[in-house]
Amino acid sequence: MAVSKSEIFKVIILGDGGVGKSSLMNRYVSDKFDSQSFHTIGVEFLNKDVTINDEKHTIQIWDTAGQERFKSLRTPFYRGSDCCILTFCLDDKQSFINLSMWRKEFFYYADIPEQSWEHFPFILLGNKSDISAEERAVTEEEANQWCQDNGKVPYFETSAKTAVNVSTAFSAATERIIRFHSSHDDKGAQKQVGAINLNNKPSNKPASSTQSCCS
Amino acid sequence: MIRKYITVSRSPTDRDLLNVHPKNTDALSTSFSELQILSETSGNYVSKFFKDPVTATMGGFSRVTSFVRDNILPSTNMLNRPTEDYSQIFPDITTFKVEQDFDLIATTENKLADRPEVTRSSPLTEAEWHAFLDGEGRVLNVPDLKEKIFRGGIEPSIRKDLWPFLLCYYSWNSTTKERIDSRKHKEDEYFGMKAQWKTITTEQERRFSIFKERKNLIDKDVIRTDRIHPFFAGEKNVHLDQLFSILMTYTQLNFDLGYVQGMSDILSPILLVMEDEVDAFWCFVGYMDNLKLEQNFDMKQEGMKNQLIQLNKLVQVIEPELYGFLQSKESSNMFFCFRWLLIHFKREFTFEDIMRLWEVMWTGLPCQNFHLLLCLAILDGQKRTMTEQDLDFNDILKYVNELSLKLNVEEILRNGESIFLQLKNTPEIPAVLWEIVCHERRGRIVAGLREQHRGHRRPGINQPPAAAAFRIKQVCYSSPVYV
Repeated sequence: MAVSKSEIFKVIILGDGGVGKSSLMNRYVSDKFDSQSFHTIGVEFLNKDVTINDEKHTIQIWDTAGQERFKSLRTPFYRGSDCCILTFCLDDKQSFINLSMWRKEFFYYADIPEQSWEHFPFILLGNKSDISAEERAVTEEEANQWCQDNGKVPYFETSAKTAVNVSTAFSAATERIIRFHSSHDDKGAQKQVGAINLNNKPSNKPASSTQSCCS
Repeated sequence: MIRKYITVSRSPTDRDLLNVHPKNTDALSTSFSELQILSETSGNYVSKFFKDPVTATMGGFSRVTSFVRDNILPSTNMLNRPTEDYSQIFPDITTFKVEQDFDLIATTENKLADRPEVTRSSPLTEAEWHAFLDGEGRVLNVPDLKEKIFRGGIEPSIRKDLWPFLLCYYSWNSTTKERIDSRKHKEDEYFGMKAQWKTITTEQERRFSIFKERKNLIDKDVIRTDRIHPFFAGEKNVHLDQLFSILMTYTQLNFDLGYVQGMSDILSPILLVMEDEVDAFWCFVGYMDNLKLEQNFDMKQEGMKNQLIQLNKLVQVIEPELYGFLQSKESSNMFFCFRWLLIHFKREFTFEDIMRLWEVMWTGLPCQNFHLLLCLAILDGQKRTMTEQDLDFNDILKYVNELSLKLNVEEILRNGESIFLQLKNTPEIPAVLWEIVCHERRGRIVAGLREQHRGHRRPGINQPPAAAAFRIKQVCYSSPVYV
């Protein structure tokens, strides 16, 4: 089934506090950067309409508070995601080390069955590429290696501050979603567009949609 | 109503004690299990509470301590499934299917009293403030002073004098001299704690991951806190260093809680007013400890979840139409109010307005949990747009997030008080609401309600009505406005 024209693609940005999740979202959606912006409390999202191959899509980007403490209030929003953008900060090694934790957290709460992990649209962003070489704490090779080890995730080094690679990265995310959807014919039919049910247990989700096509 | 489920009898050993016996435990546990508010493990908590309130409550407290202790190290293994079920993480009370004759639902059909118009007055002036002080600097007539602040707030020039009292840093009956002495002591205490983290070496830090992690996060958040305000603007601003130091020192004072995002938001107006690191620290501590803001930041977010549940109940009774709408949009979990509650509306108002709102809230008037009524007041002003535009779950969240800086603080305060008076004037107020707004142990009770609700008394809270009525007059509404 082709992706319906009005479909909303839900993209969630995850990563440690202060890596630039909100800044990336704001750069992409409004092409603005505010170095003095607040850290996110709770959950926020922004929509951006894009046209790809003459089809209109709405990219709905969800941004959450990154601190461990807010996990239980953040994770219900993972469900129904079409793509997960994992973010770390190039001058913060720990934020890179924590990527695997974020990936697992996403899979668990988005209720993605393990056999689909390899195919699910992920993007990895190393943000703050505007920093000097001395400040850099994670090399491109390390990041690429992580991507290889985690299902060939595409990797982009971005700067929300200078806008480098931000729209490229989001476009890549959108393309991955479209490809994933078109290879999972029945997904679009089963997916409730834009809806979040905060009450259903993970087990209630019709898991067959994702399982059947990846086995 | 509730008598169908319980029998109440006076204890033979303590005349102030009412014994509550469930008549039909099955019915109760069934109806509570349908609430799905609490986790599997704590699901029985409600029924435990009914069977043995004291043990359940104290057990609950001890669990708080133990989970803080047990969870101080963040879990690294994400595949460790949490004990809470996913569905119960969000206290969606769409499933709040209480049996028909249980009081909450029954009274939503009852007519609530009208919301009276209320007026607010001018802020407390310096001259008025001085008139409240005796020769040695003790504050006379604290209830009247609080009432005055509740009605109009405080003039900015004397906030620095008043906030330490409202935030329990100074005690009301202290003399000026005692406060100077106490401040000296508090200053030493502060710098002692500050020295503890200041003297941690790089080498130590390398092997002290919790410390390092907290330090990094505080560092990252401080530079993202109110930078638009001139007081915090610009590079190398000394006030940013003070924010950092106070938050770091707070994690020394309350190591179990640590630093949680949102704390810097709470601190910044306090530092702006107090202009001094030591005083701002102790005022912040007062807000966290004495005014119980700490509950918003606990490890498992129980405090936040509980407030969302309370808010749900209030909306259900006070704004039934809005409640129905929210329910139809799967938003009755009230999650969209999360930011309001976490940092007491800090991001929703300008600096000047939030200072006014907070000082009013800190008076503890007109009832406990007044901040929840302020949430209702904001929603009351928005419900028409929200329903007319037929916003869905996502849109409600977005709409509410975007109300930031668009709200009128005086209007919200008026409306909040008006809602309070509406509750106060409603003869049959549901017990479940009653417990949210009344602080029974302190006796801050909505005047006139107690008598009608003797039968609805929460088990374990025992007070002869005469004593309660006495307290109403003594403690609660000294002002002729309410009595």
